Amino acid sequence: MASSIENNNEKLTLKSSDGEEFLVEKHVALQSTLLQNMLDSDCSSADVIPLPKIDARTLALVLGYCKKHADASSSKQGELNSFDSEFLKDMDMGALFNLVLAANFMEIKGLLDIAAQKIADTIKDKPHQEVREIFHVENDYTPEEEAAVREENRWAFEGFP
Amino acid sequence: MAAESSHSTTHLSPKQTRKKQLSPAIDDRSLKLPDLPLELILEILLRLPVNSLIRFKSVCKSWLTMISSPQFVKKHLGFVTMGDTINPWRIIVQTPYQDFKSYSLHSLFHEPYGFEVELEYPFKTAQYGSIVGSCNGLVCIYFWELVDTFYIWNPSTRETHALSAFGKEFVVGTSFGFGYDSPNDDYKVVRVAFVEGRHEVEVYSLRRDSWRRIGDFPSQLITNYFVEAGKLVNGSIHWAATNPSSHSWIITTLDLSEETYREVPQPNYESEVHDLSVIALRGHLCIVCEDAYCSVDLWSMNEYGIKESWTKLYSMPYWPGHGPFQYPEPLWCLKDGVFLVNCDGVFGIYDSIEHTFKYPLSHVTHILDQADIYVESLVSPNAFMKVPTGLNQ
Repeated sequence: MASSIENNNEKLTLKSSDGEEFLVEKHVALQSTLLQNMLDSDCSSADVIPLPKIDARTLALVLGYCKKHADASSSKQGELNSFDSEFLKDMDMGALFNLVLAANFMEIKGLLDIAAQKIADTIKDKPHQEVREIFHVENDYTPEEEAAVREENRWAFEGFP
Repeated sequence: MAAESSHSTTHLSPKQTRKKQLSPAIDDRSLKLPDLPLELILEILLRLPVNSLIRFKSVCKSWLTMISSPQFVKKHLGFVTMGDTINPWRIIVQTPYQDFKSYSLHSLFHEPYGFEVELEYPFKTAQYGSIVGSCNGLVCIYFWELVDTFYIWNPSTRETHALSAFGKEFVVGTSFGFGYDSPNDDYKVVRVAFVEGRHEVEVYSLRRDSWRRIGDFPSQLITNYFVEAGKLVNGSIHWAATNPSSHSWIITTLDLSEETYREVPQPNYESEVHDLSVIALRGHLCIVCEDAYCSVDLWSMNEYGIKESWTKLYSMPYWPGHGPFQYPEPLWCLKDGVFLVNCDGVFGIYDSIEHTFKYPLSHVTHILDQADIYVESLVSPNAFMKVPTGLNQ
């Protein structure tokens, strides 16, 4: 099998959590360290690779990112940067969360970076109460404790509820 | 995550796959966001500015613990200093009215321009201060009133530490330095005072919260009334000095960890050097030198300690209104050969490729006495005292 990995035209099949199959070129799949390791360990590319944590919509986005980055030459960093910002531009928080989870699972560092940065940029000016809701975090402070933590840095809350 | 699927085909060619990602349509799934594991929440928090992180300590106890932990503080610092974004970088200026203000560096180069922030600090009543230097988000401020007084201050978190009483009187021709001693995870302040024909040197350790005399400075500092502070690069403080016997220019360094002196090789200047100063520009050791009133050259040591790596970044001609003793001090370099400079107390932008000079920047109203660059970090000047090294890492 090792020799066939050299073949750029070879394709492999990825299966999303909701049962959809995606046929991808191997050099595109290699953007993912997870898939790269699977192929390196002689996992047969004829098999369907299940990705039980990633739904079809997210996987399609991930593969779009991988294809662009696999096909672009390294000299076109500017073009890739504008692709990245366009790629994430109108994405809602749900899609971003799914993307960051998928990038983490599939070990695609560049995608993890831009998705995490986009989430950070979106929440940075939000009140902490709203951030709590976005991340499903339960407020485990007593009202007194919360007031004390806030009081320590009261100046940072100017203009915030 | 079960989700509705609009895909009817089960086999997609790469071309089709690509087509699909062009329409990341907003759907109602955003109403129920998936839970992120702690490691991914950490990845997101690392990318937030300090102000947001301080507020988000109020989200819940585990976020407070995470954001306050020394590991997170270090990781966040590493993230902002290694990244190539200008956003976490700010410039602190001291105005002739002895107060400190700051600008985001971004706002000096891009619209909306010049958003100035009045800085809050507890030593507002002190006079005759100056900026010693900055490192990892901490700024060291020095006051000469009755005795030399120092503060280590994080302008982004507003935390301050007053250094233990030094008790020595101000001496004309004193120079200072401030930096991080990485092997000992310590911050140090250096004071070089010209006393009875020698340069006496004392080093303050934040971890010990005390001063200690070390060996005398081995070369000659130019003893004007106020000597420029040494510049931090690569864990050492650097001064432009002269060799006591030959009177030629040398660059003397003090290694903050070993507390030993060295000399750094200089470039092969193309002509006689009339005046010379060292600066730190985005982590690189640089030399600004004047050659006999013709131009001001900026040299950068691309590989620290390697003489052959000195590269001339620009040779700036003199222009009208630019006095011979007040050459512009580069403060920051944008990637494409564009420099923010402090020229006679006013910001200017020098484009070394196009040979244009924008001066003064119309959107900056204040004349500045001094300016330094710092990064927004969570590093606390109060987290080091009397703490064994291991516990803080």
